[in-house]
Amino acid sequence: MLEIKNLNKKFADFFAVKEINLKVVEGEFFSLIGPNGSGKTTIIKNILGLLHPSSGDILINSRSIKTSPIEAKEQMAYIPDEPKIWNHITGEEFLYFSGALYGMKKEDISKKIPELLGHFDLKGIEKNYFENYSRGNKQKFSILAALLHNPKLILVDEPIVGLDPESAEVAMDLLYKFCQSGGTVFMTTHTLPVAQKYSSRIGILNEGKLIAADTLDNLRKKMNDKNASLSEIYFNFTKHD
Amino acid sequence: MLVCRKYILTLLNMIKEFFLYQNKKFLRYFQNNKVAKISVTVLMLAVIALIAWGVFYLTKFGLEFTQIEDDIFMNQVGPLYIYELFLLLTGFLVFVSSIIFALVNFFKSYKDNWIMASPKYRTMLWVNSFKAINNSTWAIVIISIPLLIAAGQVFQFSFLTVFLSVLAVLIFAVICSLLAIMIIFIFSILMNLLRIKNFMLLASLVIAVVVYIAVFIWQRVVNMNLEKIFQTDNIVDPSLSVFTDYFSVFPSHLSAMVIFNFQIGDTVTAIKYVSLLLLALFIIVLIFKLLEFKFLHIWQIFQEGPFEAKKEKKQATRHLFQGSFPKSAEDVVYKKELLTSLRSSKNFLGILFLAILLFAQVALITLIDKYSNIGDDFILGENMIALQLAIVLFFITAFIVRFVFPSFSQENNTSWIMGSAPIKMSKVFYSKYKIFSLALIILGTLSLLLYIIPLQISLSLSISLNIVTLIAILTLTMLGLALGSIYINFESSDPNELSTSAPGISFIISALAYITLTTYLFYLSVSSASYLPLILFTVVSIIIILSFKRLAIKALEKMEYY
Repeated sequence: MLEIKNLNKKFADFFAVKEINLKVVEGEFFSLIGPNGSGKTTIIKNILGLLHPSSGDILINSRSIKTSPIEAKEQMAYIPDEPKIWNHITGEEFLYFSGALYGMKKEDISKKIPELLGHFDLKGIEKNYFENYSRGNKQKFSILAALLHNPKLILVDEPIVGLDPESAEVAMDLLYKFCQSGGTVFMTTHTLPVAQKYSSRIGILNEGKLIAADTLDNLRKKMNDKNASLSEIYFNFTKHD
Repeated sequence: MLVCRKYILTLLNMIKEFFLYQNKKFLRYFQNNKVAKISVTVLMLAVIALIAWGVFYLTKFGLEFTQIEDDIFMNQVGPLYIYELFLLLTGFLVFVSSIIFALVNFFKSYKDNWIMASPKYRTMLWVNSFKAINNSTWAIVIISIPLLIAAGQVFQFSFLTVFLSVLAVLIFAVICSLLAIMIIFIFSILMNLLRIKNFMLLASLVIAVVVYIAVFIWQRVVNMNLEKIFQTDNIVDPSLSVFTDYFSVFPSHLSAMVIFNFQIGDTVTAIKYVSLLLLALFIIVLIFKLLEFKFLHIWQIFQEGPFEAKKEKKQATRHLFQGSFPKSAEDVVYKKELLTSLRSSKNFLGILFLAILLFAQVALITLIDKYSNIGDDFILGENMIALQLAIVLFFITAFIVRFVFPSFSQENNTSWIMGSAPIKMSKVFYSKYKIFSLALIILGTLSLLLYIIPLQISLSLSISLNIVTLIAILTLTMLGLALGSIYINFESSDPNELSTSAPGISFIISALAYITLTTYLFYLSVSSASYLPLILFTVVSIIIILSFKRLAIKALEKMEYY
């Protein structure tokens, strides 16, 4: 589903990410963890086409983000860590807008919106402007917009920041069910318990390099500790890198 | 006395802090991109110097013209008329500018939260007032200094006289600004007393006041019977009251009389008028002080937005995608642009302000022709028509600088939406181009019609004028949008900051050069009754449109969203 080949991203003389090689298959829930400034958001933005790789390529369902950006983006959806959306647009309008951007028909969007709003109990406030929503509600609408057009791959940057515990669980369950039905999730997060609970594989990034990418069990084997928690694994790998 | 002393000391302290802060801000500005910023600063100073020189030259010319005839009455009324009109017009513009600034910024800035949560929250009333005054009056200061220097040269003012005259003008400008804020404050308090919480209603009431004042001023000025003023009786036995009665109702009259009395050597009366201005300012500040206790409450209400604790009712909001649904991604973006532009009260008020300036200018020319003896030959001469074309395009450029040029840069926080969507940036570019050029064409055409119809300009000339304006607007819009796309700046979303950056200044200079060329070629065409200049103009315009479009799309496709 997602293939990152020899990805390097340089800003002036600084290598934000170096020689990233990674494959994520269909139906996988992949979490990428790492310290602040390790390059997690840079990788996500390169996948989405928000940044251009300095070298290397990224394939989404065999479509290159460099040579076929439109076809690649059609298959993806993005949930940013801090969703900034135009103040003078309502939640409902934003969903219609997102759906239309991805080529959905009005009838299909109209059918899906009530169902989606129901997940986060947003019915009744969908006609308010974004400037009047709390941070958590803005995040919820951006999650719904991502799920609306049935993408093949969802890229999530810190999905539960700003959400109350109940909404955070709903959000993660929605993403998990999305994977169960054949979708792929690529998530970056600092919330290790969430990564541990939902991910089929976990990648550890440090100073722009992917130092590990494997199942939790295999990461534990590499540490020679079959009971190690993800945070212990994280500290072990990032310290010794 | 002690209370007065305390407030004067507080005011002086605030001014001191303001200048210290501005100094730090100035030095910090040059820390990065020194060369570009120094170039921009030098260019800005050159532009200001050019404007100042223009004001100085025109004022000196006008004042000397009034002294040509050896006639005491004319020699006095002429300059006084210039002072009164200038101060009335600039005072009104300061007033309107302050209204817009205060409506958008006074009570709604979330950045004031931490101060409003502190025991010192009342200072925000004064800080925000100071910001409004600073924002609205700097232009009047730039224009009034060369004007008064010109008056000083013609009438041999001393340095002290010029200084006191500038002070009088500054105090007047501050009064206009504070009056604007006071109107908004008082309306807000009244609406709160009536438990009405509706920003649009407040804005509408304030705009109604502005319109009323504009109409009142206009009628007062237009109804001036110049023939009666210059009747033999008045000239033989001059009594200025026959003239000043028209202007004595306006606060600008006080500062006009300061300058006038210095001009005729009556220093005592001039200082009397300065004192009256200071008294008026003191009274307004006192009213502010009395209303200070209400500031926090009004600020809190403005933070609440539309939420009210009452039963939920069905909201019959007509939204963006009711009616025809977009057939393409470009159509979606177009609709989004239309909606977010129209729903922004800041944009709406800014557009209204610039549109008022443009229409006022056009209406003035039309009325000068109707009510004066200047004559059709002068107003309808090729040079005047060409000048009018230049003025309309100048105002269009002002719109482009404020709204079109910063358009892509202002998307900084929301750029991830378009950047990650399966849509070509060229489509986003065309959507913005379509919407901006359509709005500007409507504005440009309306302002020309205000000029063409009353003055009964010939059909062929009207058609040429409209076609040239249409092509020029399309070209200027492309230039502004393209340069704004090529030099995207995600570090700032402030349109004023973006417009005065190096690329912004480059656009202004390019636009002015293009307007000069357009006006010259149009004038050539009209005066020589030949279409060749217009063909050349069209070819140049097409080249600009196509080449900048290409550069812009290339730049957008390479864009990265950090």
